[in-house]
Amino acid sequence: MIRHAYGGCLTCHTDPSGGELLTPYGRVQGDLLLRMRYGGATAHATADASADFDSFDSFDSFDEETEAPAEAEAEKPAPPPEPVEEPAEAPTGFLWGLIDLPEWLLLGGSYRHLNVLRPGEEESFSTFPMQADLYGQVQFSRFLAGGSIGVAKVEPGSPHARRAQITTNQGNEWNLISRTHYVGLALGSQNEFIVRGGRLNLPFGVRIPEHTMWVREATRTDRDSDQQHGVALAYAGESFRAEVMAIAGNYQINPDRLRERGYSLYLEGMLANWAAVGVSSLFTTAEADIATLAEARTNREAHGVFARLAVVPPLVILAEANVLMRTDADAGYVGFVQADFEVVQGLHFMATGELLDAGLPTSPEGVEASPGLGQTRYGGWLSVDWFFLPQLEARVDAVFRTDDPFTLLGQLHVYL
Amino acid sequence: MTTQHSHRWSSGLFGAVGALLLSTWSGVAAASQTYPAAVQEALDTKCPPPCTVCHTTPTGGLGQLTKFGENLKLQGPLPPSSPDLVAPALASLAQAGTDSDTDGMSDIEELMADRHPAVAGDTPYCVLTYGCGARVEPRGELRVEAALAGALVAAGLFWAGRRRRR
Repeated sequence: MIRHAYGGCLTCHTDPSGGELLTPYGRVQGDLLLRMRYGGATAHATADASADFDSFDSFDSFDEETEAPAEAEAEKPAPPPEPVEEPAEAPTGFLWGLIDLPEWLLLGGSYRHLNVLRPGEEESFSTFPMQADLYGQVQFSRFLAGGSIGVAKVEPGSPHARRAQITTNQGNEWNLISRTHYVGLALGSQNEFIVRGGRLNLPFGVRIPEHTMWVREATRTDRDSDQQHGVALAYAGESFRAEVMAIAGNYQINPDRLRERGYSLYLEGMLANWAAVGVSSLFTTAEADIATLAEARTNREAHGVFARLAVVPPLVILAEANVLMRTDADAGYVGFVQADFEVVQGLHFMATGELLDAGLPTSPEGVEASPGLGQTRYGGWLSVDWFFLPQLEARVDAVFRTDDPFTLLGQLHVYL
Repeated sequence: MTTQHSHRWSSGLFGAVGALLLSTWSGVAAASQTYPAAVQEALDTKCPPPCTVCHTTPTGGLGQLTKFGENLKLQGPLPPSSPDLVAPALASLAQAGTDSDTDGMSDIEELMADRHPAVAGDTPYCVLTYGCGARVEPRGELRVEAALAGALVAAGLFWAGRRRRR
């Protein structure tokens, strides 16, 4: 949304650092700014990036321009093509507006169906529901409570979804999962402070949906199931936003000695209405290593910088670079740069490059360096993302990675 | 836009998406079978071994292999997404009698006895369990962080209640 000079998250999302459940304003703006319009007036025509404000949560400039589309049209050198007849405003509420919700209740959801193609392999094609979640939040005055509930079915040994399980099936059965659940308080004259306790997304880096991107995997800060229980304080101000979380551990895994405890935080400043830069830091410690299951105290750290830049109106750059440190390993690094080009409203072409060296293990002795461990591992994604109808998204990713087979991902995303 | 028009939009989209989901869901099983499940099936282990038995990272990868992973790979072609080839490779490894961590117990014996074949000593790998009730530790201890979270919730409710009364 930095493309549209939206630096902050809180006005459109209930999570102060973005993602998942949308506010009514977020739903309307999402439809207006993200969805393909098929010949109707696009958001670019009514709210280009020349809005003159440097703020995370002030949308006044944008709103003024959307309220005067006739003036914007009049300034164009040539008349726009004849608009296709369609409702000017598609319903944007829960279930496409089928149910009217009271003001104190927000509901949403996501269904993502993934198709994976690995040409030339024995089992080259698989299709499965990647995500089936419902989200909700209630708010009475300054008190709020919310979370997600969903189902997942993954193979034994899969690193995905497992850590968010509520039910205890350890095999390939269906499980009930909850990625987030929390209670909280909104504080300050503009509700600019939010304190929450519960299972939360870790505040770290750029909050992207690609949970398998190395910056999210290697730092264990994805939105798939890397959430942790703890208490977080978020601030969304005029020129910067920040969130810091005290991590108490993930109480949806056992035993306790594998739970990581520590902190995670980010601080992001808005340099201009098209540029936001930030820093992140994370430290955790556990009695045993959840990755290797080694019975030894394991500390893990990640510290880095990130940026979101709307270089020119159709082009947005997301970037993040982190240093990785952990017990019994050399220091490593992980980073990515993503260029997102919106050819026409609703259709995005993206190119992403990523690097990973998690650091050569120093214990046990004699581990040889390999790509990703003591040597740089490279990855590249070419993606097309199409918001083709209200609350519907189709996406294709071609993923190239050192030591991994070429993978084609096709995804249908329905957000309720 | 009339309310009737809006309702037609909602109903139409809702119906179309519902039909689409039903059609995709009916053909759904899960992601393709993974190697840990294939190992569990082949050796009848207590649990599927974690990825880090064969790989040095939790998410796997062809170039990130433990000593055991390297030994297993040497037993024959074991390309990605080929779980059918796991059982023959394990059988071949049993014949070879490899002991990756040189602790005196063969790799296959270790796997079947819930011991990590790439880490010397008595190192069980069926340790991590998922889900709220999947506890393998004693119950009943008061945890400081849980008490703090409870206190925070109570304080929030109390404060919200006071404001409403005003």
